[in-house]
Amino acid sequence: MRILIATVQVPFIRGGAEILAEGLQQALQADGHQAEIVSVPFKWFPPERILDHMLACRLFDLTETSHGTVDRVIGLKFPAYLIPHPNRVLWLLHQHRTAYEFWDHPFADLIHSPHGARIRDAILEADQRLIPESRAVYTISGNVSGRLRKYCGIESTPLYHPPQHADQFFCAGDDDYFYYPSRLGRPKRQDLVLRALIHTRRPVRVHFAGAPDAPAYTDELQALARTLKVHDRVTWLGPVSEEEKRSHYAHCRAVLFPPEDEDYGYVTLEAMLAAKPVLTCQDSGGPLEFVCDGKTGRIVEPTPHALAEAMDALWEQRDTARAWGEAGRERYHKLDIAWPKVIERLLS
Amino acid sequence: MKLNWFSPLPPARTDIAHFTARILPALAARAEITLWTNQGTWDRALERYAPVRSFHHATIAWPEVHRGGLSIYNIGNSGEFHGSIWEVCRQNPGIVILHDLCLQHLFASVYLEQRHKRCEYLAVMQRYYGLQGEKDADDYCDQHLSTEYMGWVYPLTQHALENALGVVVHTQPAADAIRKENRWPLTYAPLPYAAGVRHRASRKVGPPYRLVIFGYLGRNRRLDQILQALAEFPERDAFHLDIYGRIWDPAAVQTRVQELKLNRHVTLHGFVAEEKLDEALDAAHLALNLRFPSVGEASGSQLRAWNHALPSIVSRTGWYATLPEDAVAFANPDQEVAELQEHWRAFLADPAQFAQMGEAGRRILEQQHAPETYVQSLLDFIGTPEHLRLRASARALAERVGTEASTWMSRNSSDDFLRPAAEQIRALAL
Repeated sequence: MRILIATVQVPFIRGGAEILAEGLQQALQADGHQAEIVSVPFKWFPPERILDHMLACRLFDLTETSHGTVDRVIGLKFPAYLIPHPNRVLWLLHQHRTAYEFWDHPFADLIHSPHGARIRDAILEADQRLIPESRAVYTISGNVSGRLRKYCGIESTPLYHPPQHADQFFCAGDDDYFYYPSRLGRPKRQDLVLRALIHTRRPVRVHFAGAPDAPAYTDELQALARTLKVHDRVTWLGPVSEEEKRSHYAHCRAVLFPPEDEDYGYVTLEAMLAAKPVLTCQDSGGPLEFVCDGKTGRIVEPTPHALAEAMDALWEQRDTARAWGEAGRERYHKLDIAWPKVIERLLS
Repeated sequence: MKLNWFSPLPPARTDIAHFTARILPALAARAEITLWTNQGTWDRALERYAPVRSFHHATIAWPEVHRGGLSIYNIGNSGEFHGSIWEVCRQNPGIVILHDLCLQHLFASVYLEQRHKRCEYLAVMQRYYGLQGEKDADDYCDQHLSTEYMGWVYPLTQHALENALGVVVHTQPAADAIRKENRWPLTYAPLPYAAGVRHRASRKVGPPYRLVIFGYLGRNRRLDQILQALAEFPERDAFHLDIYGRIWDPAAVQTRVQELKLNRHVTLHGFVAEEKLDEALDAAHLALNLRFPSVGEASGSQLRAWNHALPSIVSRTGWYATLPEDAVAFANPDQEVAELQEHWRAFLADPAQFAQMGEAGRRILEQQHAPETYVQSLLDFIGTPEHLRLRASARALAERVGTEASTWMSRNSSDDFLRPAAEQIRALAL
């Protein structure tokens, strides 16, 4: 089949969405298909520009190229998933979140615009009317499916996919640090981890890896660590290579991943592949679909005290950490998370 | 339904504040209302029905506005009372309740007195009325043209509606004027006024009969003509004219009264408490409610007069011209002196006939102007706010496409080129 993957690209930004699109492309090609990624540049400010982008996407014609018809379009991200095609399938990463669960929320942006309600309504209406145009609607997680049902009344099926280089994760011990690999940003709540550290009774150490969403945010977090007097228990690794990342996973005691309402969360799966327990929170979204509380990690209240207590426990109980990590790796394999299954559903 | 209600509030000396107070009980019974004001003080009794939030248009918290639901903006022709409301309205789309069609005075006040931006005022006038509008605006700024002339020729109504999701007007002439633009969802709802309990008439039988003028008395209330008509009326001793309310130039009016030797016949009361005005209206025999120019606005003063079953002489213009012949007496704007005198003679000959006119007005008030009816009309018009916002988004997109296309498509290009965009705008938003 000749397949186009429709997504958006914020110029100069690369993250999980781009990795997913590339992973899907490679998987399709490995399955014998012709697959290309069509990336639409996206800018969401001022909010009125969002409508421009929606209209632009609706005006694209991806039904054919000069070399023949396009058999299928797989839409991933807003507003690229609005591009029409008679055989369009959605595999939704997420909707435009500040029009939905982040509308009236500390991460909100639309609500701060005088035109916010008008733009939000236009996004909701377009999603409700145009997503069902699809031949089938899949999402990357039960969490994303739940939001789609809650806000738009649209049913969908979650399709889990493996993280990049899934076969290269390994476990190589359990050194004395927790590992938190993720972009540094408010939704990831590195600050919650720092606030938890002041409540730990054990000499817990944390290694943070990842680039900041905004350069100033690193400074903000480091200043917070100093203010809280936990800076000597924290290591800021910054951006790390894939190899370094896997090595940190391999050697850590456990993985911290307490974001707020994560769509999916590669970190959880990567930790499971590295046989590491995961500490996450009750409002963390995607990770909750994989972590079994008390069996492969902990699911705690999103408070510094609760997180500190869980960190102390795993710091102290090295054997438990090992056992939960192994159980996590087993669970991952039982879930049979693999690209061929994803491809089969998307092309069915 | 949740609504933000931007309006002057009592004790602001404008009938639009009273309008809000009049409908608030009925409105709050049907919707969750947040009142927004830039006034330092307001009648605390309003808070029995809705919370009151203060705002400054430059710093208003948009999340608070969005949480309050759809915004309703009461726009009238006073910069003092409506300047800040319009400043919010031009940023946050909402329903505009248009209390005046002629808004030149509002915008002259906003641009020249509040912003001190003559260039912005000239640019707006140029945008709506071309080079002649800009030139006249320039002359107006240099005091070569009057406010009345500018208002009559350049009402700037559309400027107030640029960001409107829909428009509510209180008169049929106003509805006709807005409908011609074919741009906004529109509804006409008669100005609401809760008919009060009928007071025992305290009107004296026999002369001198009390004539009354009340409300905000701008130049268009025809005081000069009324005073002239009274001065030249042979039976003037049979009348006494009471003038209540803020006068645009009290000294000039007082001087005119003296020049015409009407000191015994005219009393200027100034602004008085509501209760005192009600007593005066109960005691009055005939209201003089002239407006010229008038471009269609409904008169809260007229409804108030009817509430007291008070017969009225009104100008045959705008909304007033649509009133039933049996409920008011008319004076044509170019023949006011003679026609006022003619009506006064008729009154002296048969006061009971005028009293019946007042009763007819009272019936109209009861049947057509109930606040509950108004609120129902307003809520029916709004329907679901989402649809109004989607329509506005579709229009914004269409204008954006049109603007872009105009940069590279000739005027003679076929509409077919734009059809796909039109269809997709429809798919997205309508």
